[in-house]
Amino acid sequence: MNVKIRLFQEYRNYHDTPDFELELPTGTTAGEIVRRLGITGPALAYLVLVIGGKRVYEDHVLQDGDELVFAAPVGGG
Amino acid sequence: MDDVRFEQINRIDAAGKANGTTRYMSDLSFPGMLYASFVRSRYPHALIRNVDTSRARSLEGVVAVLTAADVTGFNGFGIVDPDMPVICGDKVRYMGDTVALVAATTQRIAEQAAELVDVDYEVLPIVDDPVEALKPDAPKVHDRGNVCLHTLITKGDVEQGMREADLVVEHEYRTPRQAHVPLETESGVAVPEPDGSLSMYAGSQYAFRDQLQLARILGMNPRMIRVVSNPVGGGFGGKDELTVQGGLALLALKTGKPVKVSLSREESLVSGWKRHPFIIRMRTGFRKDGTLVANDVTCYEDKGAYTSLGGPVLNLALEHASGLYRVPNARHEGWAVFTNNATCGAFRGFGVPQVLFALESNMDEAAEKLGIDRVAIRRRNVLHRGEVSPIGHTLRTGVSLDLVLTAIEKSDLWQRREEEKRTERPWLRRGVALAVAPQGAGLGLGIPDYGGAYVDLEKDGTFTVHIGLVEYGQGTHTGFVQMAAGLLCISPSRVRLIAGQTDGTVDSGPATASRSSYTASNAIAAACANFRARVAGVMNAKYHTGSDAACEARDGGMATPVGFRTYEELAQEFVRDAPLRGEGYFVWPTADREIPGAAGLPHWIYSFAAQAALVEVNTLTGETRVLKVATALDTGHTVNEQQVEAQIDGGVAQGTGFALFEDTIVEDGRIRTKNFSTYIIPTVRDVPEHEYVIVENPEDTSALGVRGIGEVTMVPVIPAIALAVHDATGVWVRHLPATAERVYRLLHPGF
Repeated sequence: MNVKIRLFQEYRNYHDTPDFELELPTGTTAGEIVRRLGITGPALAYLVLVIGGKRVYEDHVLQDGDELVFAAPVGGG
Repeated sequence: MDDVRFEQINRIDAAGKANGTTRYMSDLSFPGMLYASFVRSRYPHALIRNVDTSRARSLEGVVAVLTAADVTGFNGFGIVDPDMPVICGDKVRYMGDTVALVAATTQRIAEQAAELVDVDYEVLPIVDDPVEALKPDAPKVHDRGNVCLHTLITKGDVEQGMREADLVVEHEYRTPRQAHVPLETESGVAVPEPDGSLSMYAGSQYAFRDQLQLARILGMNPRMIRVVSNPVGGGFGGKDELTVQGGLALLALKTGKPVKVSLSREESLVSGWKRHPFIIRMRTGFRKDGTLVANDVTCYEDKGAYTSLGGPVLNLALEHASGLYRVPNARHEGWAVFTNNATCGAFRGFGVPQVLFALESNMDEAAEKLGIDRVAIRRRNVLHRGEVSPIGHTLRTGVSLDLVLTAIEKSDLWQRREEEKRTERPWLRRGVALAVAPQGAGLGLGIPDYGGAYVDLEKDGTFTVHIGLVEYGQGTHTGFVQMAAGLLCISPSRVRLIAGQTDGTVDSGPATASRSSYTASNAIAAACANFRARVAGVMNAKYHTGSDAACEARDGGMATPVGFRTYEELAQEFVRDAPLRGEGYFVWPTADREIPGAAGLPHWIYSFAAQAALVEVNTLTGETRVLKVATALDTGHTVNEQQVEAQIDGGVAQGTGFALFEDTIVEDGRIRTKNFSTYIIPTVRDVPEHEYVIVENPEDTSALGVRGIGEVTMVPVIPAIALAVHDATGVWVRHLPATAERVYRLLHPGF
């Protein structure tokens, strides 16, 4: 299955490009992508994962066509 | 959207607040609860050589004294950059910094023990001026230097624009370090639970973010942290960032007991978040007919000691530095600069009140010098949908500046302004002025901005709406109930709300940035649509009505392919152990192109208001009173008329405070205005008579047409008051607040 990854803020430091696609086996979880990117420590603690406006967690099983957003819950005006 | 009717109701939280049964965080009590005291810095800038807690620990009744070494996870917090220590270990940067934490059996013992914590400081020179702080030899607040953020946005050729101008208005403006002063100071209780989890009860504006910040501090799985943010005794942005939560959580986990704190007003005013004071240098070029040709703006934002949201505040200010006027040539530059003055963060308006004061002042001065009507000069320059903003993005959503300007022009106050200005006492002068403002809504480009909601049909045929958004006085929770009731065609009395906490709700982002009502409108509408689909699904499963057979909400129930069903009947038929749930999610629309070098910009949706103020200036004392204010506000689609007026009332009061009274005075890094005897806020005597003019230009990206209104109601009133002082007396106020002393000195320059 194909999943699009979008990295925001400091999470852009974990990959060459902020937007990329991955071919993944069925049953892959969001947490496996987090570990593949090497996000640990305080950056992991402050991470939110979002798909289609829905907050998901590391045990979320990804679906073909998902767009998984990595972001910190920062604010703005 | 037009067919959704919002039944008008009183606030759902009104009775509890009026009769005193609402239990705020400072009212909570748990068995075995301890009391906390935060040991604050004695200096605005110093190295910490040693912290000796032995005397404090030896005091009877003291259960724990923590220092930086006791922080179990990452010793820092901050929405954007976690550079503020929960407990300072090596350095303090302002008087509100925490150097140790105490938990004791009584509040009195905790405070006594705090006095017994011996800290050996090496005092450092301070920097208390953002312009001075930019100099290479200035004391460094942080090792990385004093520049928190520098942003430059350019469009066209500003110098060429100035050469083409017939009039250039150039001034420096200064704005105050306004404090939020919520009725309830920063308060909360942290409760360690038997299963090893932690419950945090603390008034704040985004429970789900607090959960993650606490997880980072504690080194805990966030799912082991439950955050309850409601009820909040006032926020205004001051509880968007963490306040007391980190310290309480550390103490609770260390002692194994619930730990509570409720800051004194003095401690709140010293340590709490503030509005960033700005120094704004603005040079604005006009043609003879009032057409804007260029605006050159430089802003210095006094960040205070830590980052928090200082960068986004600066960038939103720069986005609005030329308003939404048609400015072909613009240069907006700003620095957010660390100093040892307090520490600043989010505050209603988020940088916009500061720059709009300068911009609208330059507009009125140009109008006067060019002999143009004050409404006409603005109408000549306001943008419309489809035009390009001063920072270069095309405005794709509704722009209502023209509408609110027309509405304020037609207001009773503006129409009768000459009559209103008459006074029989020669030392009293009255003036009327107006201003107009946009206010970017939502988190902006480059920040995922999302929302979600559940709508549950319960066994008894009533509904429960679940949404994460916190209510801290805006009236939004009442609006959410009305939205769900309108979409489901039922009475609001049959809708219950669970919100403002991490358990049992859906992360819907922060209650900031004028985003709550808009976010909820789309999230609840999506959840109701999903609920209708769920009903159609269960109908199809039972009656084989077809997978594409639709169900529609009708008077107290749903029209289904097998006939009308009341919600009670649907519940009886289909709700068993769990409610029948509709889920809805959405993502805010954003611009497709970033403004180069300006993170978070542009915004895509704006709020709009115009306000006119009638002031009376006592020329013998300089004292200024605001007698009347008219507000023309675009709500998009009014959800609750009472709450719209309440938001206007609150915005005008807070704007009046900014314009005339409020400023946290800091001398040598020490806050001098530590209580309401010196930090002056408007009282009921200072709140003017009000005229409400509601404009409804539905926001077409909202399923219900609504716009956020929480911030913009305090923005134009600030320049309107300052400019009304000019209309009354002839002096231009360029440094706020316009205290009696400042106005007197303007009126009597030789004094």
